[in-house]
Amino acid sequence: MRNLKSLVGVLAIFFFCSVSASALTEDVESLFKFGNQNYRTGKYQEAIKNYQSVLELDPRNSVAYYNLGNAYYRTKKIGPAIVAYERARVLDPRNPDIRYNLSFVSGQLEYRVKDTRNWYVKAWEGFLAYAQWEECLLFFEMSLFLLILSNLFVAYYRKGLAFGWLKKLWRVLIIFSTLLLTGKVFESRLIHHAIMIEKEAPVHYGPSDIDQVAFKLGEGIKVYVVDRNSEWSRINLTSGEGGWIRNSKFKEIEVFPSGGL
Amino acid sequence: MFKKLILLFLLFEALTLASPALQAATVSAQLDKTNVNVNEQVRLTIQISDAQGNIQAPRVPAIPGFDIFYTGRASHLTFINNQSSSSIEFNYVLVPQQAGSYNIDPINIQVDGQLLSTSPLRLDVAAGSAAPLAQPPQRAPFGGFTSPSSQSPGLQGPYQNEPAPSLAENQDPNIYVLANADKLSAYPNQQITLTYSLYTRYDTRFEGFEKEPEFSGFWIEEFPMEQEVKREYVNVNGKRYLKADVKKIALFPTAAADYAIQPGVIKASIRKDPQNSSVFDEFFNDSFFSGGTFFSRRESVLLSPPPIKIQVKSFPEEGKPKSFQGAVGNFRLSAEVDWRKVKQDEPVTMKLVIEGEGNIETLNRPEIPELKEFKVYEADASSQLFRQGDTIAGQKIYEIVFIPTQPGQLKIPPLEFSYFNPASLMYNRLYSPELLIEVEKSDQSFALPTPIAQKEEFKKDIEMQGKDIRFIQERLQGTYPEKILDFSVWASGILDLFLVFIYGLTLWKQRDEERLNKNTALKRRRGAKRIALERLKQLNKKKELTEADYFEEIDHILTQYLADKFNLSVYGITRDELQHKLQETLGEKDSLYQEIIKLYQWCDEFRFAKGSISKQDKDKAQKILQDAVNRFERIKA
Repeated sequence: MRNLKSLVGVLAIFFFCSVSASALTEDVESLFKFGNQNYRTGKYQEAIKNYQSVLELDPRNSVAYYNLGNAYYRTKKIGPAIVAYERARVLDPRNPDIRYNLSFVSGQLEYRVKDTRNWYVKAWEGFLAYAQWEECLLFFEMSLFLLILSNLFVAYYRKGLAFGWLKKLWRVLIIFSTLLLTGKVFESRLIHHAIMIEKEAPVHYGPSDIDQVAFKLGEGIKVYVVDRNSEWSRINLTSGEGGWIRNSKFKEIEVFPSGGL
Repeated sequence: MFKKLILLFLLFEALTLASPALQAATVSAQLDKTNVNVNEQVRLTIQISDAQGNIQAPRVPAIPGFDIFYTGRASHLTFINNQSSSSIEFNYVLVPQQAGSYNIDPINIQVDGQLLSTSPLRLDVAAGSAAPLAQPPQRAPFGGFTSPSSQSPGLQGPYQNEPAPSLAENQDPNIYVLANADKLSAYPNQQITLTYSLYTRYDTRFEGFEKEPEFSGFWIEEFPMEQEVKREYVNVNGKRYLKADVKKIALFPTAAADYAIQPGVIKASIRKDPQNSSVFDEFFNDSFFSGGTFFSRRESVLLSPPPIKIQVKSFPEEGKPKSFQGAVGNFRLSAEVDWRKVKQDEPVTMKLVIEGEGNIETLNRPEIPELKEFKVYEADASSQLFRQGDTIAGQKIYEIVFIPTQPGQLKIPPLEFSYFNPASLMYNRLYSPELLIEVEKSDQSFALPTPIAQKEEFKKDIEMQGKDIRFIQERLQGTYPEKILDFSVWASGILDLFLVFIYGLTLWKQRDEERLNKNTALKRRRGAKRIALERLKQLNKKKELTEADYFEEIDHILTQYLADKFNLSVYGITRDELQHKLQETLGEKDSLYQEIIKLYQWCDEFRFAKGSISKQDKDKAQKILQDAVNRFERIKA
């Protein structure tokens, strides 16, 4: 009797979750359609609100971020458009439309930052940008699975694998996947990418307005946030320059669970 | 397996060859005549059919005993029964210098990424050259414009005075070469004629270039050698020299810049025989270019003309037409179409001819404006070079296919061609005539003829009209791929953890086994219970055992167990030894000791007892054995 009650309870919770998820999906779909309708008819501000609402409900929706980027671009807000495209790219890194629009809009920026980093750093960053961190983790896990399986085989049957090259391949695979996962974790969790959203913002030598201005940054420029307090953040550029800037002048690219735009 | 692969390969080859769509390009070479005299021109034509894309002029390898000159290209496009075919011809002139039979090796040409070869050719050259010498031949591509210099090839006088050149200290002043450019300042694509003049006081034979000149930044057209080299006597520093223009090259600079031409190193052989050196009037005719005396002792000399600096200016911006594409010289333009009255969708070929003095090879076709009523396809162009005195001239013919897409009186508008005339320093514009074409209506819808559609040269490049962001995505991405990814990550992680656990367990087991293998006493102690219980199980399965055998086996199991536990030999052990060991381990008063001893006594009694033994007794004995084993296992070693 007691077991029956528990079972009914579990089923009720499951049913409630399913109904809630279904209702949520319907809300997301209808808001998304409203957004598209508004975009098609040129009501870009309304479209922005619709897409933002979609992202409140489903913060990992790359399509909504992409459409939001388009709507921002149509309203001449280059910085927020790039933030939206960058977030869409984090969630769907190989989508050609996202990459094209990001490249197109970035090409219209007024300012340009020279990338003085080593070629291999740039190449590695470019390579990592083609994969989600979950994909890197899965790749690592699969490689680990194969490695353990082969070791288990050797341990159990007390003999080597049928092909020597296969054993070497597993080793190379596990080394590569470990590097990839480490790099991706470093890139997506430890380095904080951000985009300037102000038309022009001063970067100071210290975290206050009385500190001397080092240089000015324009809208849409990508920066790396290396330190932050309640009002100011320390940023670095790919050219090697750095300084302190007010937090309100930029948006971080990380996809937060609660949306953020 | 290998046979299957070969069969597959053969099948693929057969299908490839059978397919009409995959027509391979072909090349051929032919001479306009195969029996000629020394110095008589032979035209070599290399034809390439059904090739795709643009093809560079093939480089004909040097043939000993021949002077070779490239004279231009011609492209042909034909429409027969709505089918098109194309071919490109590259023309060369060969001038044999020595009599004999020659085999011209196959010429390799890179076409559509493949290396194709022509067939070998044979040419017989007879020694007789009286006719050409008496009357220099009309060089076919150059024949329309005979060089004035070749009309009076003899020695000229009176002797002109020329300034002495600055020669290197170790250079023989009796022989030197100067390379003279007719102009040291020019515009891009304007002809600069470079003349190599040999000054000598010896009996001299010109033997060509030891080191080729460097003309980077220039388009080069070589003048063919004259039958009789222009030569004259000149006075230099009071000494009489024989001057001969041994080489002429037309240079066309490709871009505005300052250039330094390295004229290369010329090789000549001289005879320093004092008896002959004074006979200037005769030695040149005898030996220069003609071989000289066979047994004469000759000496080779290398002659390096000094480098030449040339300044190439930019085109003036004033008055530069929009249609100007870098043509320099003096040109004429004409155009005509092959049909004035056609049906809709039937091709009309326009022949556009640009001719005149200048670098014909680098001319670009006049731009054709966007025509809505025509589909326009540019066929390849042909060019023909001429020599007009010391000037390179020629004509370039463009064939452009217009396919009318609507009926009515259609117009091909005038095409504008502009060029810069360096003589007047002005830009000139030329226009083709407006061409009217009457197009009859046709019920057939437009379709690009299949042969045209298959050819790369007729493909138009996509031109971007403007740039913008791509449109929004109108469908929400399904959440399944993401869920599958998340599930895969979790499942794979759990699977990995499970595998790690199994792997760890296996390793631990293996190490334990290794440890046991090294320690026999421990191994026996660990396995004692398992062996005892297995034997007991076996005993219960045996139904036909007598009571005596049953208790004998119980005795053996117990003895084996205890021997394993105490690491003693099963075969040599006595009951007293066992009792003594049990006393040491358990003590005499221990209940387990008492029970084991009791079990042994039972076994002895039942083994030798005559009467029947009840099943309860057997069970009791077995229970005592199991209890003894279990209790013994709990005792730590």
